[in-house]
Amino acid sequence: MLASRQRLFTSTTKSSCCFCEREFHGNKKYAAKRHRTPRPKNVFTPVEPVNAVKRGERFAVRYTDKYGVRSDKFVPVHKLPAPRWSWDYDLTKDNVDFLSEIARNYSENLQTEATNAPLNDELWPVHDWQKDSKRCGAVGIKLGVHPIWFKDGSYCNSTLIQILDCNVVKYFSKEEYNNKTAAVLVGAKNASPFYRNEKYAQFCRDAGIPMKAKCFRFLVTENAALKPGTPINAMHFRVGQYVDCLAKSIGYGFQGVMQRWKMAGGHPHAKLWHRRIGSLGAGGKVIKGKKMPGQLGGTYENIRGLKVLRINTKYNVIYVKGRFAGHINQFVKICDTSVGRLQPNTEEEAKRLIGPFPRYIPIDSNEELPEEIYHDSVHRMNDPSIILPSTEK
Amino acid sequence: MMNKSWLFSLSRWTQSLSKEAKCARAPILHLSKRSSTFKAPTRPDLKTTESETTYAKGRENPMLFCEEYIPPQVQPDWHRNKLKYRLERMDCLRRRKAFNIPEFYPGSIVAVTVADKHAPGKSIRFNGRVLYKDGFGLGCKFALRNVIDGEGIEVVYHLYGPYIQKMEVLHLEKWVDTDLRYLRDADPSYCTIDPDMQPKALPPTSVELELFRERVKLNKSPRWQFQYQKHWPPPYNADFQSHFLEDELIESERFSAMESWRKYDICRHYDVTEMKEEIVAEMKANKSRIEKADSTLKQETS
Repeated sequence: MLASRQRLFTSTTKSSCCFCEREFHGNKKYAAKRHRTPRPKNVFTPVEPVNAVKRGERFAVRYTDKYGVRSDKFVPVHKLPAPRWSWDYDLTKDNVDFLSEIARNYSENLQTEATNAPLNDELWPVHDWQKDSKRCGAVGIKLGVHPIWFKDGSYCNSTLIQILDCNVVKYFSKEEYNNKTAAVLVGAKNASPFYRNEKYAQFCRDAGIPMKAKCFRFLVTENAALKPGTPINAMHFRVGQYVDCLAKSIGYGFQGVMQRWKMAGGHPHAKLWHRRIGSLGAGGKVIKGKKMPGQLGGTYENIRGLKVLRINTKYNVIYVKGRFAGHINQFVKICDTSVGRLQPNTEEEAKRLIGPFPRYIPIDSNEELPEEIYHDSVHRMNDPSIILPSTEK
Repeated sequence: MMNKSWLFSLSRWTQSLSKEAKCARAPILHLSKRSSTFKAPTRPDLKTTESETTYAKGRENPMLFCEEYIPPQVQPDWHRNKLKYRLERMDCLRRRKAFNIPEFYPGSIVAVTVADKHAPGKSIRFNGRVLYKDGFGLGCKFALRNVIDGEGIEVVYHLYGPYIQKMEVLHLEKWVDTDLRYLRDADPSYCTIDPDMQPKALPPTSVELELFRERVKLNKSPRWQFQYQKHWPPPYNADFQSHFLEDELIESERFSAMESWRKYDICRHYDVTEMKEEIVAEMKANKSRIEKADSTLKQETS
């Protein structure tokens, strides 16, 4: 009878996700993990729907869905509304060229001032390292990969990361940010000041630095506060410390199931079935998270526990053991490890596993740094060939 | 005894002197031209004549230019980083200064002593024929092949690996092909090399090397992943036309005909002449750059 069938169907529990307000039938414990774990609700400032944002609303998954917004005052730079009209809509071509040249020279001068001249205003106080204190990292560019040899004859592939024109853009204190942790915005690689958001331009103007092409946010404890405008170079890290690298992987677009999930597909002599999924699963419905075609790559991937082997102070290049996602000339967010067994508990461990806290401050202002700093286990190319000591009795 | 003629010639000479010479305080001796026993000493050559070795057409000074200094062809342009190439070339030059990497080409016979922690005496010597030399910068690798007791053995080494303790070129030969992996199917006599082979005399660098143009006969049907019969351009030194079956020959001709337009493809043509000049200029400057960079290191260690 229809009524009993209906009753059977409706007797199952109706559950809803804790934060996205989607309803689904069945026991909640068979739902996907992201619907089971409680997460903060989306709270962000309403944004004027400009063309770019309207286009983006077509896509259901947003940056804020995946991570949840940590603070209602923080929105990443690329999500801020773009200006409605381009800055040069009412200028002649000569004026445009003139202004671009001025902007370029101005940014170059600003950068040299920010790096060379000492901070003229009162310096922010420098605190000592304590347990569970975090300092900010750096933003770099991936240069490439080449081998590095060790003194025992083994070798590894190491990536080179250049820290190019890196400056602190803005510091949010605990109360400004989310009442839990402070935050620091660090930017790298000077870019043109045009076609960028006015709020971000104001940050850079206050800091006294040119506009940066890419900014990353670092969650930081209050004792590692850095003044906006401080330059960060390769000496911010220490040879032998461990580091996390976050970078956007190479994007392959919308890909099928064989590329994306490495499914086997059909055998070579198949006639009607080549690169398809096959079975969708049993149970009368498709389980959430079923592997299907979709976007492959173009996502931020974090690789943890990479060791710093060598530092070049002239070009601000770090040689890191191992490889991480991203193409050459991709922006990388480098910070101290989050790996549990590599967290420092004492001050001695902090000197070994973490760089200078809160940033690198030279002892003498005229100190000449050695151009190349190697780890003890790394073989230098200008040394003679490796001869292993014989263990004969 | 003051000679009058001597005084006269002295005064004449002082008049002819320039203003600066007259103001000079030091006394200048005047040697009379009349004495016959005196012979003026030859002027010493203060310029040191550096041994300028001339390099023939196919061979280059490895300190200035090598095949592995050319960056790989990568498109688009923003996918390459020139700073990384410069840093890697500097490291290559550092290794070449510390260790003499001899000149060799695919087809020559080379002996290599390598540090190995598992070996008795902690080093191993292996010699063989070079099959290929491939890669850019510090990642440049070459493979040696030798047949020992009927067993073919191939070993791959890094050119710039510091675990190489000694490298000798026993017989310098240059084949037309750069990839000789088809020797696995050829007569094993090409790759059987006596482990105690003595090095032959190397020709000087001013002499151009003659290419090895003989054709190697292949024995059995190929079973390798590297299907050289389908490769374009077809290898010069391999004579595989004689032993292939007709079907395979037709297929290989089809493949080579499909791709024979590649030699006319301008976009794929990798023009190296401009790059070579830049690299040579860069490597000349790198010498002083390395000395400057490594001088700070030595101060640190001392």
